[in-house]
Amino acid sequence: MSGHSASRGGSAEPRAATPPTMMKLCLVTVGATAAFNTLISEVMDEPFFAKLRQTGFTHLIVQYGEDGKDTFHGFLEKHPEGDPALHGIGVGGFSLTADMHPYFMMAKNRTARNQELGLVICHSGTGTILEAIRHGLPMVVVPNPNLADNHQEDLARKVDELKWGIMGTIGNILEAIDKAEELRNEEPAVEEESVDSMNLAMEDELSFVD
Amino acid sequence: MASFISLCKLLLKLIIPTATIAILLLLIIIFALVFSHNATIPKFRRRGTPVHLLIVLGSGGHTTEMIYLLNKSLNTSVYTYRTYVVTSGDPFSATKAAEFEEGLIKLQQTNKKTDQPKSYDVITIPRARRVHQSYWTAPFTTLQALWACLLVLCGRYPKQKKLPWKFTSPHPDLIITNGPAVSVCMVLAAKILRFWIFISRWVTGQSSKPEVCRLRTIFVESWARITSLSTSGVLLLPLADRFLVQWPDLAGRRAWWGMKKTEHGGWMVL
Repeated sequence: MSGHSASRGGSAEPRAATPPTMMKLCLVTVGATAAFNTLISEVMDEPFFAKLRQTGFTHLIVQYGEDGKDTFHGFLEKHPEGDPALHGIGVGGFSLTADMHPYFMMAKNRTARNQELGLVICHSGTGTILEAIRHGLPMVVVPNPNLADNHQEDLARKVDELKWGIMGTIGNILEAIDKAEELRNEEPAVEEESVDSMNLAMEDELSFVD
Repeated sequence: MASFISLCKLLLKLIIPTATIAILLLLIIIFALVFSHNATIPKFRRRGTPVHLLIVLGSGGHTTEMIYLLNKSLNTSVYTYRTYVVTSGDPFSATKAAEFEEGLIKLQQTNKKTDQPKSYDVITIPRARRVHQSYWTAPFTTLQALWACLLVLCGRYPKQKKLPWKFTSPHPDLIITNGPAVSVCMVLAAKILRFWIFISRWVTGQSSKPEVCRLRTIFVESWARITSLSTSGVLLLPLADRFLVQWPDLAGRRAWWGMKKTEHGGWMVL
């Protein structure tokens, strides 16, 4: 895990020192497998944008999945660009993509690209959480209450415990963002570099003559 | 009335032998599974010989995890040929596999290594159970998937590429899985094939002839599983040769007494 242990430094400096053109991105993703429209409707709402503004975000990108399309575009039709309800936040969104990597890169702390460390708000999907950890991004993980299997909640709790992010629930995402803002100055718990147990197991099973 | 009694007697006569056969079969299966888990692998494989690795890409998060795992652990100088198995109705996994292999080729070119031809294959097999499929038809589609797995493991699935000439056996040497239902089918198919090979070698009197062991299976439980095993994990406890888990709470579990335990391997996907 060496190459991608979170580098969250640099964002600790006072906000006033950063030029206003710095981008701070909030990335919301619901994944591909299950619909999670409640998360989308919570995000596409005036108080959420107010909170983003208050915590210094400049942009919002939403991956809304197959079912979130109407909610997302409905809100934007009601509040076109420049509307006070958007609080000056730049909004973009799409349904699905095979490769989320570029969007995670946009939320990273890269001064050369005028980027400040952003935030990922996501469903409790393995792929998304792993990617966020790899990029050292703080996150708010919201388990989908509609899924019968509660191992997603286990995972979200673990993320919270290891300080990779905050476990959020529908209805308290605004508080979770505040908590995540405090988290960004903390070093997350990194598991020590372990032996490559997979490779060892694979070689064992092949049973070479030594 | 008399005919009814004789029918009952007939049924009784039938039930006892069938029950005996069923129990015997069950005992044989359990014994074979315990035997297989406790057998030591004979060391006949020489280093540098080509190795055929079969990778099952489940879907969604399973595929992502598997690609991360391969990124971290795959040593292409050992595992010289890779077969990826994906399920129908899952276009992302095949793309991800191809992307991963393209990356490997690029890496080889930058390292100025000999330009190898594409040494991989991606095979699409039918799904065991589609999302929202009825449980009544699921057994049939599962059997269909199992049959497909058997064909893949014998190198006889339609459109499957021929292995390079260096490979002496059509069977893959090692199978790694982490995914849902399809991985259960694949591991089960490997077990069935191995049982078949074992019996046929025994019958033909070749059981003492040295032979490299193939069709070994490794199951990696999903990183998202922290306190409980997945359904496929539970099913594979007695079947997979190695069972790796990524969180300490899941280590040390086993199907029943005398069987291998799950091993904690740390985070294998990061």
